[in-house]
Amino acid sequence: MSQERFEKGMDELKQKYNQVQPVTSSKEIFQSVQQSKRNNSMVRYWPMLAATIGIFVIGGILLGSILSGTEMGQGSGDNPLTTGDNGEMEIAGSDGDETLESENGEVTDPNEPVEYAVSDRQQTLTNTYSLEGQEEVVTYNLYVNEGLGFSTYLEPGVEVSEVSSGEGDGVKYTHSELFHFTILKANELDDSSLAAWENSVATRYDADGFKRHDVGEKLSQKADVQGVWLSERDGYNDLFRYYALVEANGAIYLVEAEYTIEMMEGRFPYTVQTFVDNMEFH
Amino acid sequence: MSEFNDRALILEALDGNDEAFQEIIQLYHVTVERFARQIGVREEDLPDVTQEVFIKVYRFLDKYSRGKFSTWLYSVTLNVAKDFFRKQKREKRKVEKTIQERPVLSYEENLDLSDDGRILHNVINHMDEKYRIPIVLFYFHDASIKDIAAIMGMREPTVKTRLKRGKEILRKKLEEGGYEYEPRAL
Repeated sequence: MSQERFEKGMDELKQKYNQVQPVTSSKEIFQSVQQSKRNNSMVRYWPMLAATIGIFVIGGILLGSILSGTEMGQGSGDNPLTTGDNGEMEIAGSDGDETLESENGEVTDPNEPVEYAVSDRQQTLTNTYSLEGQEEVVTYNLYVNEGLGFSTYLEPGVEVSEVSSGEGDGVKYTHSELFHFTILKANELDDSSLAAWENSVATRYDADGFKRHDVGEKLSQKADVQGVWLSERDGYNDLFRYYALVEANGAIYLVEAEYTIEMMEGRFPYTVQTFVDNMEFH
Repeated sequence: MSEFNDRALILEALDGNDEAFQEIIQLYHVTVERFARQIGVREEDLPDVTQEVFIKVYRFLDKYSRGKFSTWLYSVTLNVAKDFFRKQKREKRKVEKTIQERPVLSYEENLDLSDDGRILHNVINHMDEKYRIPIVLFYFHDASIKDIAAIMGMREPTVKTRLKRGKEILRKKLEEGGYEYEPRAL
């Protein structure tokens, strides 16, 4: 009887919910999508527009300089070199671009990863590692993701793509088929604490057949919580999984990487470590 | 709407056909709105949340490659709603003591529910999200355990356990005659 009553009540609810008149209109939604598309297009073309404006401005300065030099009749042979140098500096320099980029930042959809500097941080970071007896110098580029509200340093050539899951929205960084890592700005759990998130990650890793591994030292100085797990297949540990949880500005960020044991000897663990250790939140 | 038709529309939309995307909106905006309402989005916030869902769908459409489109859409809606609740919480904390809250619009007055329907409605609105979302998807959106697991990013046994527990809570409250609480979001 209780089951029947319950089912009947739920059926009634479903029916009544389905009768509620929608408060949204497909036309308005479509218009907002179109508007968002226009905004994104503007953002996409602004660098091109900036470059075009820059070329005209430089051309104008160059022309003005040549004309004034000719008119004044002073050192006309030096002028092309001087203006030419200035021109190169303008094109390659960062001042003009930075102004436009910060304007871009204001109109960019907050979920759109913005891969240029919007802060005062230095553009690159160079680290030297001793890998398999050889010194390797790696230069990382400043990476800013306004949508997720952080900046850090990332290896050049890494493919960036958005990901979305039940745990949150985030970004996947793919270096090669063998190596990728992700960052998620975590959705709130019932208990939005680091411990709750660690528990959630541990449950998932456990379900995937990984075992917690005591690395004996902290891989990242920035992570509030971190861990290393190894997969055990036929007694051979063939996969390594690392996670770091960082709490900032009331949000929790989850960084996860997975790679083979062999790759632990290479520079990829440093890529993840550099990423986490240099995270700054905006 | 069949998966085949969904895929055809998505391919057309990806090819730049705006009419195809408009059709996707027409087909799914009521479902998105309904689901958002059922998981706790306030009436006055529904247009913003629904718009945001379709803006995300449009932007990430090329990233969607496998699985049922509706499953992905529910997952996007869930994430957008959760983001919205977080923002709301932050804003609420900021203005809590200075500005009086706007009155919450309610669709409930027009539901015309029986006593049992009202009890179940109230209990669902106060359930912990870990039970509420699977219950809403299973009973009101005909989602399978597998779909719910994909939408919520969890394993099927966990979904089964939560559904079972959620159902137990609902049946118990129904037998007790329910209780009255203020509605809560996730």
